[in-house]
Formats: sequence, C-alpha cells, structure tokens
Amino acid sequence: MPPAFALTLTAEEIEDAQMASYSMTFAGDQVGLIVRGKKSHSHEPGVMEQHADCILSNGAPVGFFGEGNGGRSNKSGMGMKGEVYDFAELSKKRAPYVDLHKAKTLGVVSTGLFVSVSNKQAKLFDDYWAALDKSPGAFNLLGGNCSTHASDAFIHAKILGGGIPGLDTPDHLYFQICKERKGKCTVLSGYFGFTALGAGYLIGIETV
Amino acid sequence: MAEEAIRFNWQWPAGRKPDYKLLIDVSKIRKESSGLFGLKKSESIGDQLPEATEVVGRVISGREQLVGKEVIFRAPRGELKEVVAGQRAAVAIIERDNRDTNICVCIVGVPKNLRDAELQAWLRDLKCE
Repeated sequence: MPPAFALTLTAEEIEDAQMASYSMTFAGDQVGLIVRGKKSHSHEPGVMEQHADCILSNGAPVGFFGEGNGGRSNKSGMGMKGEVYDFAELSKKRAPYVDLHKAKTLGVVSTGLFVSVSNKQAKLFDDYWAALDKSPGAFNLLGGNCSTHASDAFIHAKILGGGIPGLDTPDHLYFQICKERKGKCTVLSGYFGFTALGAGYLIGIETV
Repeated sequence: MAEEAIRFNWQWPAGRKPDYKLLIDVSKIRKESSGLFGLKKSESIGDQLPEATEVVGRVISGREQLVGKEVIFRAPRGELKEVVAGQRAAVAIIERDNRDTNICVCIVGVPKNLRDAELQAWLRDLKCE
C-alpha cells in the first residue's frame, strides 16, 4: 500500500521523504528545537558554527536572524535588525536548512530535539513566534540572538522555567531542554528537509 | 579612478524565475574573508553562506548597461557548477525581492565544447534549481 502522502506530493517530494531515514508530521502536541551545525547529541559546535531554529506545532520551521547594519560586514555583531524567517524565507536564504537534497550536497548537518507538549503549550509556542514575526526588534550576537528568542518561545509556552544557563547559544539551550524535559524529548541528527503537506509540514531527516 | 565592481548577493531560487541572465568572463574565484574573529561567519547572520565564495568577472552579454562592467557574485562554493577562472559562466539574476536587490540564484560554467551558435539557446534553456 502506498504511503498516505503519495496523493498530495510530487514525485520528487515523495523521493525526498522515502530517502529520509525518518519522516514525521506534528499533530499539535510536539514542538522542536533544531541546532544547525550540531552533528550529534554529544557534539558541541563552536559558537559561530551553530544556529537555532524552532519547529512549530504543525511542523513548520522558523528562526530568528540578523540583517542590515552591514550584515556579515558588521564587525561587532550588534545593532542589527532582527528578522523571523519562515519556510518561504528559509527556502530563499537558507535552503540547506529546509531542503534535504541541499543539506546533503552542502554538508549541512543539524540536530533536532522534538519535545512532547500539551496542546495549550503548543499554541503558546506558536503564538510567541507569530508575535515576534510582527515585531522582531533588534538582533545582537550577545543576548538577542537566535537562541535567545528560541528560549523565549519555550519560556512563553511554559515548557521551560527560565533562561539559558550561561551564554545564550543554541547548544546551551539544547542541553537545558534535554535536562528540564527529560523523558519528553526525542533526538535526531542528520540532514533535514521540510515539505508543505496539508496545513502543516512533513519533516524528513536522513541520519548521518 | 577605477570603477567599483557591481556586487550580487546569493539566494536560492525557491521556485522563482530569474529576471535576466548574464554571460560573464570569470577572472577569479576566491574564498570570502571571515572577518575579524570570524564574526562574518556567524550562522545567525541572514546573508551567511556555507563556504562563501566570490566569483569575480566581467559581463560579456545579457544586460546592455552591464556589458563590460566588473561584477562580483557571492555564492556557496557547493553551488558553483563547473565554474572555472579563465572561462565563461552564465549567471541568473533576480532584480528585487522585498528589500533585497541584485540577487544571484545560480552560476553555471559554459560547457567547453559549446559552439558560439549554440550559446544563446543554452543560455535561454538554463534552469536554476
């Protein structure tokens, strides 16, 4: 019997999903953190080599980035404009974060932390990102970065009780969630891909 | 005084069609500087690219006002398809998307055995994925 998604996806999208070691959808009772550049649970990437994205309760990827004020030419990493990238924006500016083929070609490995939550927590998590998208404010490498806002989403949803211990980095947030939500998390490392499916997304992961 | 090169930043096509294509002579392919303390390389900066590379060249054809100008394209190293210094390459451009302008969505080296008579058809059929 063909998989349930066969009728709604293109041949290439089905190939992506089949190539993945794992494919999943979220049903409103999970959210996620993806640490880009983290190759396994125990790998601790350098501060500049990591980035945090989140997965909303419908499986949609979302993340906070710095733009403007010189962009990559900004020598201090301060005073930049914050921007929330959704799937469409990630597809243009970070294709290897959402396209499994591109991730493989360009060697972009991520570790995803999938957290079981209540429907109410999931909604609060989604609400945080929707509000941030409307008013993203500034981006600062120290204390106003991708992991700061990912952390705020988990706190707003009452999934975490407080801020990131130590420096705001994606990896510190990752280990904080693992510790505080022990028994409620699943971890997968590899190449990640997202495909729009119905009202949500099919997440494909080919492990490394 | 030498005219400053025109810069194009990289984005993936994401289903968008280019507004125009350029044929260029590639003079140099160089790794982009990662800046003081590697700050330019932060993964959370919007325009960061994997193995950011600059392709420097001069426009041969494609947009009249750009012909003869020096151009620099930023792109991920892994997205440069058969691009070689000293040879020709085709570049697909999106002029504007929201606040971003001069967006390069693919760079492909011109096949060495391609005859000049076949060039325009090859350029026209070039797909960016």
